[in-house]
Amino acid sequence: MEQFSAYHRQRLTFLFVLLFYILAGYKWLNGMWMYQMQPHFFNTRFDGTTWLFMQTGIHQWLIDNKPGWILFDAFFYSIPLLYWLAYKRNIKWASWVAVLMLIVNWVYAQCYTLYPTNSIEGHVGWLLYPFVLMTVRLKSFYFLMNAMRYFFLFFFASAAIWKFRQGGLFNPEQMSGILLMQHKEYLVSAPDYWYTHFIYWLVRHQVVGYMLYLAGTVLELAFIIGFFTKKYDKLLLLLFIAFLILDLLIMRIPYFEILPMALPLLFSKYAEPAVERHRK
Amino acid sequence: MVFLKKVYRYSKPLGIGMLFFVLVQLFCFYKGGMVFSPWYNYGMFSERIEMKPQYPVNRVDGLRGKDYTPQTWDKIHYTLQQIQDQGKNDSLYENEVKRIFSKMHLPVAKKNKFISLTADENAAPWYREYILSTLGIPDILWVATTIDYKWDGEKLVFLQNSDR
Repeated sequence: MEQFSAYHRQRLTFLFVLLFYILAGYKWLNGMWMYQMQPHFFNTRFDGTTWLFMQTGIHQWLIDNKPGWILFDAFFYSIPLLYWLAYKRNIKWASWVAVLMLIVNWVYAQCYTLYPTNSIEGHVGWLLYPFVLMTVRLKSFYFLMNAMRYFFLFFFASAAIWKFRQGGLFNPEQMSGILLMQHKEYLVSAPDYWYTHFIYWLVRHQVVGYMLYLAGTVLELAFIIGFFTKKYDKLLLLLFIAFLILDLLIMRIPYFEILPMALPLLFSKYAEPAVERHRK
Repeated sequence: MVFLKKVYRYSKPLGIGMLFFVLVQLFCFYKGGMVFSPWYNYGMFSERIEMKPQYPVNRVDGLRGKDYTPQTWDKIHYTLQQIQDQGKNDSLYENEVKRIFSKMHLPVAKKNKFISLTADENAAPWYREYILSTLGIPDILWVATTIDYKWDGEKLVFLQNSDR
C-alpha cells in the first residue's frame, strides 16, 4: 500500500484552500459575507463556550459597524491564501499562519453565527481544520487528518442515532411535519409554482415522505462502516454528495460549508508514513 | 481505540488531546442538552415534528419564494423570525445563563452581552431597509405580517391575521 507522503499533504492542503475559495465565491454571490449580511442584532444560543466568548463584547462591537464587518471579512477570507503562500515557502511559517487561522476562524464563526445567518454546527470544519494545518511533521498531519475523518463519520452517524433517540424515526408524519415547518412561507407565497405542488404532494403522501426520511437516516447510519474499514470511503463520499444535493432540492438547505470535512475520505487509502519527511 | 493507541504511541500530547476531544464529544452527545463549541450535537431534524392543524406564516409583502435563491429567501424570512424570537434571549439569560454562571462560581454575566434588541425597540424600520438593500428592490410601500394558515389536508389555506 502506498504511503502517505508530503505530496499527498500538499494535494489535500491545496484542495482545502481551493474549496474554501470556491465557497467564498459562492457565498459572496449569495450575499453571505459579513459585510453583506449587515448584522444589526444577535441571538444567544445554548452553548457554554459561546457564553464565555460573549463576555468579550466583540459580537456587540460588530453591530451596525461597517468597517468592522469589512475587517472581519478581510481577515477570514485572506488567511487560507496566506497559509498556502507560506506553505509553499516554509512549512514552519505556515504552521504559525495556521495558529492565526485558528484564532481568526474561531472569532469570525462565533460572531457570524450569532447573527441571523446560519448555524455554527455547519462551520465546525473551519473551526477544526487549523489544528490539522498547524502541524509541521508529516506523521502528525497524517494522524490529525485521520482524526478529522473519524469526526466526519461521527457527524453523520450521530445524526442517525439522534433520530432513534429523539423519536423522529418513529413518527410516520415526521417528513410531512418537517416540510410544512420548513417551507410554509414559500408555499403560501408561490401557490401555483411546480415546487410548491411537489412539496404539497410529498406532504400529502406521508408514506413517500417517511420513506425519504428513513432513507436519509439509513444514509447517515451508513457512515458507521467507516469506523471499521476504509474500503468504502469513496462510496461514503458519493453518499455525502447525494446528501448535499437532496438537502438543497428537498429542504432548500445549502449545507456546503461542511464540504472540506469530507476531504480526508480522498486520502484515507494511503498508509501511515514510516519516515518523518517534510519540506524545509 | 486502535487508532487512538497508535497516536498515543507516536505522540503522548497528541494522543491525550484526541482522547480529550472524544470524551467531551461523547459527554455532550450523552447529555444531549447544552453544548460547548466545538463540541456540538448534530440532530438534523431528529426531534418528533408533528403536522399541526394551524401554522403562523410570515408574509413579506408580495415577495414570492420562487423568485429567490434559498439563501436570499432565508435572509428575508430567517432574519424576520430571529427578530420575532428576541424574547427567547431574555428567558435564556434569566433561566440558564445566570444559573450556570453562578453554579460555575463565575461572576454573573451582564445582561446586555446576551440581549441585543430590547422589547420596546422597534426593529421594523431596520428590517425594511435591510430587505430593500438586500434585494435591491425600489423603495415601495410594503409590510411584513404574520398570518395564520390552516392545513386542510391538501394545502395551507388562509385563516386570519395572527396576534403574534
